[in-house]
This record gives sequence, structure tokens and C-alpha cells, in this order.
Amino acid sequence: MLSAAFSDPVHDSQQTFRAMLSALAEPMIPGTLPRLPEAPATLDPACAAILLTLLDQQVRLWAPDLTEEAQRWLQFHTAYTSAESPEQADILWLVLGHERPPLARLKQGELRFPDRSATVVWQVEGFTELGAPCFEGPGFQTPRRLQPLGADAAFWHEWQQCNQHYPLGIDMFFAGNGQLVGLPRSSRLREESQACM
Amino acid sequence: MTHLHPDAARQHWLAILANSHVDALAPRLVPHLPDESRLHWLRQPHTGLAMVEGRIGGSGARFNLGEVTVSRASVTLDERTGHGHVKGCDIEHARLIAIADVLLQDPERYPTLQREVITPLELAIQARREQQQRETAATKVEFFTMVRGED
Repeated sequence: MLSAAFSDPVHDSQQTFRAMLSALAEPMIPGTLPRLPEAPATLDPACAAILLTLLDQQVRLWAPDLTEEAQRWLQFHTAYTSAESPEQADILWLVLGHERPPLARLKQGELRFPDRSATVVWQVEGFTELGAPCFEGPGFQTPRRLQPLGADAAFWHEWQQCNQHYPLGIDMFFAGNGQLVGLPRSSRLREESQACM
Repeated sequence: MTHLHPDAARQHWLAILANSHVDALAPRLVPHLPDESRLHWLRQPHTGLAMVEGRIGGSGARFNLGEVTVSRASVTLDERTGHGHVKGCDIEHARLIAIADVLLQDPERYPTLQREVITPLELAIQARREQQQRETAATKVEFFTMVRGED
């Protein structure tokens, strides 16, 4: 049985989009999503809000973790297109900690069109500052620590590798439990030898 | 009406509902409306644009003819889902079609609704078309050429 999504699709997705822009402007600061839709059980409402906002019939989504029910729900509300492989995807929805495609294979854009790159939406349980890596770059007044639960050193290493050729690269969102964190391609990992707040 | 294809009956009633005037549909449907609290709206009634594609002749390539406003709504009731689509901006019409669609899928309600809503609307559409054809036929002009007498 299908369930509803945003109660006011136009304004709710506009507000979600605004929250996503803020998240990318101030990377690695957890923000809240103003409108959470009804969503299938396996899809976190925060991720559902982002997917409902970003997807339409021209967007190719790669989401191997979507259950059949969640697929039908998302298809009904957004009419998205399924990508045949992670390389072709415009948007990816992945559960952080589950199996993931190599990030280096995702679309990184072209020099003329760096915007033709993939955006990854990671579903996470929450965030912690304990043992977290330190980030810096545009949008950071001072370097900040934050760790989405489920991310490990191998993950950050892979992420660093695929963002070496700025302005090419991938943008990421971490969302779960009503919270949202953005990590644009312009952010960098700070060397551990340097001080971090 | 024959029930050859499971969706054929549904296509038939949806076509009739969408081609009827909302003023004709509303009074007939209102006595059958379920309690609003039992309805769960998947898509609130809203209006958007749809691209209409056309072909010149049977073999021409498809081209974009233009956009039309379309109103739609989707509702669930007792595990069944009803959809309403109608050309134009009348969201009330789309709302009523969605409710009628979900009610008509219920085998217990189908005979009553078919008798009291669909059949009268179908007759009204037929009458409207026949009237229009009569009016059009009345303006028919017979063209003929005079023989000019050359040989």
C-alpha cells in the first residue's frame, strides 16, 4: 500500500531545498530539516525529504538498498529514472556502513560542466564528535570535527581521492533522524598533526 | 458493458467521469461519499502542466503540440487507491473523480454507483455529443459546380 509524502509538495520541497543549500554553505554543521514527509519504514524521513526534493523524471537514481515498497513509493511521488549502474547515476541514496560502490567510479563532472557530477545522499543514524576527523575549507570559519555514524578512515580516504581534481568531484549529504549535514567537494580533510577545534 | 480486460471497465468509468461536467457529477456522487476521515490522500488535489504530443498523419514523427493544464488527485480507502485526472484547473473535479474511482473498485458498491452515477453521466455525454452533431450538421453547406457549357 502506498503512503502519502509531503503534505504540501511545492512549499515543503522548496523549504527542504533551502535547508540543503544552507547545509552545503556551512559544511559539517548538523542542521534540521523543516518538513519531514511520511515515508516507507526503511527510508529515513530526512532522506525521503531530500529525495522527494531532488528527483524527477529526468534524474537517474542509484539506490540498491531501496526496498520494493520504497521504490514504488518514490516512483509514484517523483517518477524518477533508475540508473543502470552507479557510474550513470545523478543521485545516489546509500546507507552509510552498507556495501557501497567505489566513490571514484561516480560521475565527477567535466571541466566545462563540473555540475554534471553525482550527489550522494547517505542515510545515517546520527553524528558524533568523538574520534571524528577534522575538516576545513570554504564555509568553515574554523576547522570542525564531525563523524557521521558508520563512516571510517577508509571511507574518508576514498572521499579524499575522488575530490582531488577540483572543480571536479562529488557532493554529499548525510541525513537521518531529522538532521542534515552537507559536505561539498570544496571541503578538505585537515592533517591530524595540525590543531583542530 | 463487457469486462474483457481488468482495466477496461476502469478506463471506461474514468473516461466518463473526466468527460462529465463537475456540476453534473457532484450532485450524483455526493450521496455516496464516504466519511472524509476514512480517506487518506496520497496526492492532495493540485493542478500542473502536461505536455501533449502530436503527429502529422499516421507516420509523422512526434512533436510537442503544447502544454495543457491538468488537475490530479490520488486517494486511498480500505487498501484501494483511486486516481483522478482531468484537463483544466478544476481541482474539485479531480478530487471527486479520485473518490469515485476508489469507490467503483469496491465490488459491493460498483452496481449502485454504476446505476446512479456512471450510466446517467454516460447518457448525458451522449446527449451532449448528439446535440453538438445536430447543430454542426445544420450548418452543413452543399458545394456544387455549375456546368459552364463548354462542350
